[in-house]
Parts: sequence; structure tokens; C-alpha cells
Amino acid sequence: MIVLGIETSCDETSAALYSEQGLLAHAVHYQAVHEEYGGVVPEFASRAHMRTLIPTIRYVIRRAGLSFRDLGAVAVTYGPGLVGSLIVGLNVAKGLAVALRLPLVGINHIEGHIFANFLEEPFPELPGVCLVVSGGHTQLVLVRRLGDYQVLGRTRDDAAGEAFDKVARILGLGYPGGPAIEAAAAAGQENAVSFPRGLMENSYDFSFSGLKTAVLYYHRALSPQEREKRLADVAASFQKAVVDVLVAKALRACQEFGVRSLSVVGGVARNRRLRRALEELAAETGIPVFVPKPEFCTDNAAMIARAGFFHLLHGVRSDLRLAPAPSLNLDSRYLPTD
Amino acid sequence: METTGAVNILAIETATQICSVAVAAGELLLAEETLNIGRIHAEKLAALVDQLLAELGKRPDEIDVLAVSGGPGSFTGLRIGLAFAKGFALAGGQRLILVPTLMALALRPGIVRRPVCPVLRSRRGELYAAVYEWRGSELMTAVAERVLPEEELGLFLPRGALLTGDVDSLPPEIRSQVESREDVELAAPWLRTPSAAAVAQVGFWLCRRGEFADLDTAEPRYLQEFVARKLEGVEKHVQ
Repeated sequence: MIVLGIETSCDETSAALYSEQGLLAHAVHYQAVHEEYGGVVPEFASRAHMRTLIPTIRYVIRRAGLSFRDLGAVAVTYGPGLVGSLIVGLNVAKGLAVALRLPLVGINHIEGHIFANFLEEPFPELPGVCLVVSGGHTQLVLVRRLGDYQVLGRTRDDAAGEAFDKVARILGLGYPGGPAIEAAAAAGQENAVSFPRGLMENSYDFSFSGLKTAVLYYHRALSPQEREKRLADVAASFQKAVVDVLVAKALRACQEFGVRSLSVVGGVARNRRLRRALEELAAETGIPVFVPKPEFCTDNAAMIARAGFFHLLHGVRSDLRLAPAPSLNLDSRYLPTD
Repeated sequence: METTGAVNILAIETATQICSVAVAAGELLLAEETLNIGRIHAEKLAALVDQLLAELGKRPDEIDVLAVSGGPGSFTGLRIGLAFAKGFALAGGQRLILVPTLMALALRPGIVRRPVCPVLRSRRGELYAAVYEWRGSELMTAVAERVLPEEELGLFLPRGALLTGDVDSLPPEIRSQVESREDVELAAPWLRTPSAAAVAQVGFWLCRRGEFADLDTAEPRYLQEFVARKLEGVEKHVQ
């Protein structure tokens, strides 16, 4: 069965094909329009999806040497995300499903990220802990088995990637903030500035707004010359503070639940400093750590097609009345039947 | 009317809170389903199309052309209709037609000897308006669609116009100003709402003239520029 996956929950327009043979083709159209605005402008994102989704789907079909008649199902992200973006992908998917009389399966975007580590073997052994860190989401999830999740904690304010974007803005580094901070931090000392770590000892929730404010006050207090001189140190110290919090919480969850793997997914998982910290953690604790290839960390339809393939095999189908769910929780999705 | 060999049109109208789908063979309406129960398009549209095709015993690949109400109107509504039509036509290889929403609205009161002025209210409290005139049994554009402040409706309405569309939701003072004009007539209330059958008819005219949209790049007629504030003094960073 060949599953067409569609992902348009934020500002990436993506399509992919997944089957028993694995990933057949995938493509992501990155919307550069948002860069000069310092963040995703929902109206522009929606307009861009309308212009680029059809060519993106055509591309993966052609790339795999297939025709639409070869498809067995359509999997599409229906939440969480920007409603104006979700409706484009969801309705294109429904149009395809009606015209080709194919099963439709709606995928929770966060669950999609979890499946990013199941595109290529070796797969993480379960139960596992999965840290989902991106520009829109920061969640720590206990994955008992695929399809069975418990959200242990989530951010109470900014998502980790959002904190990178906001701090990059404070430091005048541009958007997207993740790569900008990482580049600036390369020449800096991580312990140069002691920024607070919002650890909240008794909770798996995250909070990055205090850290962001600390960077803002620190930056404001510097003279323009000092700002330039200290830029690398401030970026490196901020990045280290975020990495420390993410790693500490993930490790604590791994230990408390005695899991067999730790997965880190989402756009922030591309950050090389975080990846290095995770390698060190794996070496120190023996917990196997899984991070997808960079292209499958950021939003992509390969993970959606993969999750759809899994659910379809377990008999899950969505009704044509499936509505976009901008605030969808991971806990609220249906479980596959055994 | 002869329908054998006629072009089979699937028409979609989701520009306002009305969700309407129709199938026509040329100029002959075969089926229409219209719901006016609020903004349920995201949930209902695909199921309505599926049911209508089933009722008609038509396979999706028997549809030749998709005619979509292309705006102006509710951005979300337009996107739902156009995205669905794009997915459908991508799979089946149908041609896509973007029907001007206001022209389809102007068609509904029937052939009249007056200029027809359809209006729809935008979310910002402005009006989308245009003027059309019948030449024989086809509707032609007299004044192109535009965004109009509500208080300018009186000035915009040509002499002897038939006003249709969102008349009931006009502010009372604008409405009474329009109604006090002896030369202006209001369309019957039951003919003032958008319908997919009208979209199919305008779609038929456009199809005959070969006015198809590009499936890949087609966008709704937003008519409203969207402006966001740019970041100042920063470099771009792309990985």
C-alpha cells in the first residue's frame, strides 16, 4: 500500500510517499517569505501553501515514477497547527481521497514527529521517552508503544524554538533564530554568562520566558561596543542553558520510567550543540538516543506518511468530515485497535 | 435539453457561510445541495460532494470540469473550496475554473434589464461589489469587482440597479439610504444568497470560452492586500 503524506501545519509545504518498501519520495518547500518578518505570518503561510502544495505533490509522484492510480491512501496532518495552513493540506487531501475513492487518515502533527525516528532502521526500542522540540512545540512524551502516548510535560510559555527566535531577535541575528544563534555561538564561551535554567524540579513542564527575559536584560545593560564583543558569548551561554534544560528533563523522565530509548525530534533537534549533548548523555548513561536526520527533524510529510501507514495497517480511517484541530492534544487522538 | 456529450461540471460555492455543491451537465443542473447553517465547510464540503456523486450514480472520473467560487469572500471559506477542488482535479486530471463569486451571485435573480449589483460584506466591514449586465442570455461585467467602504454603496450603485447579496446585514442607515432610492430595486430575499448551481452556470460560460485556471498556482481572488510588519535592520539567515 502506497500512502501519500501531506503536511501543511505551519510554514513548510511538504508531500511524501511511503510504502512497505519504505520512503519512496519526499519533498519539502520551505517558505522563505517569513524571514523578513521575523516569524511565521499565518496569512502568508496559508497563501503559500495554496500556491505550492499541488506542485509539491506532483513532484513526489513523478519522482517515485508513479501515477495517482497507484496510491492506496492519503494521510494528512489535521492538527495542531495554524488553522489557515491546516485547511489547505486537509482539503487537498480530501479532494484526492474523494476523487480517487481512497481511505483518508488524519495525523496528529506531534505524533508525526515521533514517527520521524521510524523512517529508517534501527528504530528506537519502546517504551521510550520522546522529546518534541520545535518552533511551535515543546513536549516530553512517554511512548509506551506506537499509538499509545502520555504527555509528561509541555512548555508553559514559549516553545524552545520560539525562544531561539525571540533571543535571535533581541540580539539582532535575524530569523529563523535556531541556525542564527548556533552560528553566532560557535565562537563563544558557554559559561561566559550564567543564565537561569527554568528547571522546575517537580514537573516535566518547560518554561523559557524567564531565560529569554534574562538575555534581554543582560543585552540591554551592555553598551553597543560590548554587545558586539559579547555577542558570541551571550549566544553560546543562552544555547547552553536551553540544551541543559532539555537534556536534564529528558534524562529524568528516562530514569523515572525506566525506558529503553530516548528520541529527540522537531526542528530544534537539528541544533548541533543539542545533538552533541545527547551523544554525551548516551555515552554516560547507556540510554540509546535517537535523533532523525536533519531533514526529518523539521516539519516534513515523510513522518506523516509513515504515521499514516502505521495507522492504516491497524485499520484506522478518518471520516471525510475530519475538521482541522489547531489545538489538538496528543492524548486526544484515537488509539489503533489491536 | 440534450445532455449526452455535455460537459459535466462539479461546482463548489464556499465563499460565504453558505456551503453549496452542484453537478451540472452543460447548462442543465442535475443536483444541488446547499447548507446555510454556519461555517461548517471544513467538515461538510467533502462529504457533500461524495454524497452528491453517489446520489447521481456518477464516478468522480465522469466529472470533466471543476468550477469553484473563487472570491472575493471569506478567506477561509474560499481556501476550503479551492483546496478541495485542486486535490480532486489533481487526481482526476480535470480542468479548473475560478468563477467570480459576485458574478455567480448576480446571476441568481434571473435575466433582468437592469444593471445587477451584487455585494458581499468582508470581515473588515467593507463591501465587495461589482456591476454586471445581461447581454442576451449571458452576463457581462460592467464594473469590475472591488472593495468598497459601506458608506460609498449609494454612490457606487448605478441608476436603475438591481441590488443583491448581503443586503440584510448592511448598517440600517446605509440600507434605508439605498431603499429610499426609487430607481434601485432589491432582489427577492430567497435569490440573494450564493449557490453552486449559479457557479456551475458561470463555469459553463467560462469553460466555453476556454478560460481555465492553472491548477498548480491558482489562488482565491482575495482582493485585499495583506500587510505585515517587517523586521528592521537584520540580515536574513537561511540554513
